[in-house]
Amino acid sequence: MPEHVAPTNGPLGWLVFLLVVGGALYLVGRRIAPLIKLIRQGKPENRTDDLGQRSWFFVSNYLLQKRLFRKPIPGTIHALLFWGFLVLQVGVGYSIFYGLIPLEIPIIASRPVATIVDIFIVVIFLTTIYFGIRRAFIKPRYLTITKDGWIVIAFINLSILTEILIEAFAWRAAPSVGTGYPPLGRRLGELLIPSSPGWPSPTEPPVSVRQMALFLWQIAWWAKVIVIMAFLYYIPTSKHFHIFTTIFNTFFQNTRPKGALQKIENIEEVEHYGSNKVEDFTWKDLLDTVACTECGRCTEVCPANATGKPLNPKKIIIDIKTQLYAKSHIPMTGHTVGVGGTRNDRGENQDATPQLRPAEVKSLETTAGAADSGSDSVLDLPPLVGGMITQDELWACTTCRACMTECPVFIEHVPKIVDMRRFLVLEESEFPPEVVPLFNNLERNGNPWTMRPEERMEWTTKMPFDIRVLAELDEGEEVDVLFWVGCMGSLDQRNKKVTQNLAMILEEAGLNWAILGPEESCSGDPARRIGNEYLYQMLAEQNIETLNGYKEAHKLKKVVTACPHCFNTIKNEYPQFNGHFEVVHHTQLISKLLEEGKIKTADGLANTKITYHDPCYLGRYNDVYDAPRFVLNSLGSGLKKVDFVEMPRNKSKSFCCGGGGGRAWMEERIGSRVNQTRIQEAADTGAEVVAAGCPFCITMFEDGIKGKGLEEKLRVLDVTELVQLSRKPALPVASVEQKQTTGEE
Amino acid sequence: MNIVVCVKQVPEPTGTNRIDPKSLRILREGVDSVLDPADEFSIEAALQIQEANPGTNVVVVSMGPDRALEAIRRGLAMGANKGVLVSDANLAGSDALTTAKVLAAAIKRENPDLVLCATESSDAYTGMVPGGIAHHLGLPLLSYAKKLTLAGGKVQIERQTEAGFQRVEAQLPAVVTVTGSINTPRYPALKGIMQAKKKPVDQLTAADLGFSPEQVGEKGAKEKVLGWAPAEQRKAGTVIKDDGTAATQIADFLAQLKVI
Repeated sequence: MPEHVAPTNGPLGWLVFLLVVGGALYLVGRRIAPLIKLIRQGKPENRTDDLGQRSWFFVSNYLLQKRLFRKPIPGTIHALLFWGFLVLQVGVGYSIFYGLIPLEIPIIASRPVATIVDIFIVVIFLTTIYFGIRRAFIKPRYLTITKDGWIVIAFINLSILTEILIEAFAWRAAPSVGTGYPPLGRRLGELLIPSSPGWPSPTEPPVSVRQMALFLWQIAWWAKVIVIMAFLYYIPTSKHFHIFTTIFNTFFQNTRPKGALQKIENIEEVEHYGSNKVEDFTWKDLLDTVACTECGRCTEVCPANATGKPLNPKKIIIDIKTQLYAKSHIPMTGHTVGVGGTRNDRGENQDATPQLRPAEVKSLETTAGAADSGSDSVLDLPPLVGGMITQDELWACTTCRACMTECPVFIEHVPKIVDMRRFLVLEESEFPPEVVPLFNNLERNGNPWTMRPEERMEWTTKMPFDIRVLAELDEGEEVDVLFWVGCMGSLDQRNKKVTQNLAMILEEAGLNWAILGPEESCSGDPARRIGNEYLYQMLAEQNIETLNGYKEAHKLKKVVTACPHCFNTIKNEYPQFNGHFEVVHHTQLISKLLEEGKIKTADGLANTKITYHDPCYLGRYNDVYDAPRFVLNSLGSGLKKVDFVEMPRNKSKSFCCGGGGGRAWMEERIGSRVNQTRIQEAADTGAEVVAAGCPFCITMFEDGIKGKGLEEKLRVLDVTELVQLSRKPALPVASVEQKQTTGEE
Repeated sequence: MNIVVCVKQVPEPTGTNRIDPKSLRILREGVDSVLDPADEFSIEAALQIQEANPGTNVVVVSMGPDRALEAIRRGLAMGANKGVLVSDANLAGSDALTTAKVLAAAIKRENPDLVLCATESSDAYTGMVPGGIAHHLGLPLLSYAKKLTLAGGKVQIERQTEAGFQRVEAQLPAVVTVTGSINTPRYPALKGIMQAKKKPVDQLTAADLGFSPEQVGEKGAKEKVLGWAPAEQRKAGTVIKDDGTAATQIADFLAQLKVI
């Protein structure tokens, strides 16, 4: 036997290899072709702009696993497995190559590289132990646990086992080529085929032993090839498909402003509104579902899910995937489906809707099998919206974006939920009954209530100075800042106090500012997020017309608002309708005024323990975290500063107040209350004041405080109110008696 | 089965109506106008009957200026099948009795089994039109329905009274006025709004209905508004702070109003 030996042993072996690999790849291709076709047929969406930035997304979030580290322990361990798997491919590639052509490739065949590969083989093994323990014993409630996970762990271990067996037998079969042969394979080789005293040397087996080692090497090598091909064929049925799909999902992630929902173009000419079936989603929406790894990070942080609502963002994604897979005739390992949606094969995981009766559950594997035999499996599935995904799930969403912020593979849950809401509202007129007056009032009165536009001026009558209204100014008179007061700030008793305080500050800082007064109307945010895109577009277009007119006439420089919802939609969504305005949140403006010394705080709140709640539409949607904290930490001087504490969930991990996504206008009928959950978290810090920067958060928390009986312990104040309260002598702050009833007649 | 629903376009009801001091009519120019929210209840009632009895034809009828077509479209967007708008410069200044006469003529063309109206409009509040329609059509009038059921060629309603309700019924065809507690009107889906644009609307003039210019409008009016005065401002409410007796105080207050 010559020194250069190879398991394939010449042309016949190569032919067999080509047949095995070619056949397997053909089967894999045939399996995923319909899926790729369906994804490509999704609604168009441009995700190929700015390729440079996108390449960086791929590097930072695929190769470097950036998002994974938001959960440090599983994140680190996953990253080790991922990097280990990449390194393993060097070893696997080389051992397969060498099995075909026994050529030593410099560097790759070197001892250091082989050693690194071996180290990572050990690392991979250890990570699979961790993931096994997590599935078998820790069982986090948000993780989908099915047999799929175990099959993947088995494949990974088979893959590394065959690798080290190849190393071991190859080393015994051809020791002289083994200068680079790795430490692990070498030790295993010595263990499996121990040296004997009769050998020429301990590393030089006699020919008979080499023959046997070569035979074992051949077995291991072919086993490896078959394991890899079987794994490849299995992967599309598994959540493990993410190892390929996330390459695309990180690359094609959203680069538009986070707070901008997709506009329905030419809304009066569209044939079908929103999404209620696979074909209605964009190709990226469908790609998202195939990228889902079922890790459940979205579920873990979902405020609706945490308070007992049926919404589970992961289930939404998996339900869409189930339909997509059924149409592609690909089985989904470990999943069953029935009325109420997809669930795992154990029924003990909370992915499932509890009402699901076993008789209605059918295995997706059999469903897909039936498809192969000619019947259309899609017909057997309940409809996506109203069947697999219930209306209660869709209406529970506060659009807080916590799910999207956590998702390591950049799945966009909220736009899909809003799209399905669009179907319900625009197509079916199905929504919680309490939303009907909201829509009617927004349409008729431009505010959520039955208030007249003139009532937006009521708060100004109590002010010690005149407030300028744009419509009353002479054309050409310059105005720097438009204070967009918003419906809550103009018309809600509690939030009018915030408005009055902010007006005091604007005046004190000597800004040249004005308001729209009766000409202002709802920004449209609740309408859009509830799914009434038509109403949203009407409101937005009307506001933009007003704003554009004054922008010209008075040379408006910027818009300031105390409402993060108005802030977000004017800043990020109005550009879709040709409304381009520089918008700042009042905490940003106040922070700047403090920095510039245009306003000052005083020691009135010395040592008061204050915590801050990040509003979703200011924080997660617009990344404004520092400005409000700067203001709060600027209150008082020296030792008389406020005692600022963070809640456990803060900044991008903030927990919603429960009011976003139009939820403020709906009843909370299921589960416990989101606002109470959050206010308890604030109270648990020992803070006396929870500072907020959003009228909806303020309203939700005042209700939460009453509901929890925390009136004696905790108050909610806007950042503006705290600035005013800190001062001595106090300016006439209307807000101090904030515990008074909200002015019911 | 044919159901006719009478509707009216009114100035946005949350606004304060302005009155033309000369004509003493409500100023309708420069004011946002909407389908009278009170009419949404009668449309909804008709649509619920339609859902329970497939094949039912719901026709929305209105008298008003051309822009009242928007109010009809809203009714069509909710789900009505057809609209009829009686619009004619000669009709301007019609009083309630004339309105009833004209509407009755338009309704008759639709051969109705049931005519539904709101109890009164949200702008002028005369409350006379439904009675007038019933008179001109020679049909029974069941008023203030807070519940409506159809069975065996009869309509039965629960008629809201101050003390409770009366159950009354009539043979069809009949005219019924409905109150705001009868149902929750649906909000039209965008799909409905778009479909409404393609639904038929008959536009009729007074002459089409057989009226001469003298019989309608200002000339034909037998009522005359003599004057108007703003309503008395509502007095400020009483705030009761709870010192342990709030419940008793509220109960006393309600007892004083003879509510309890």
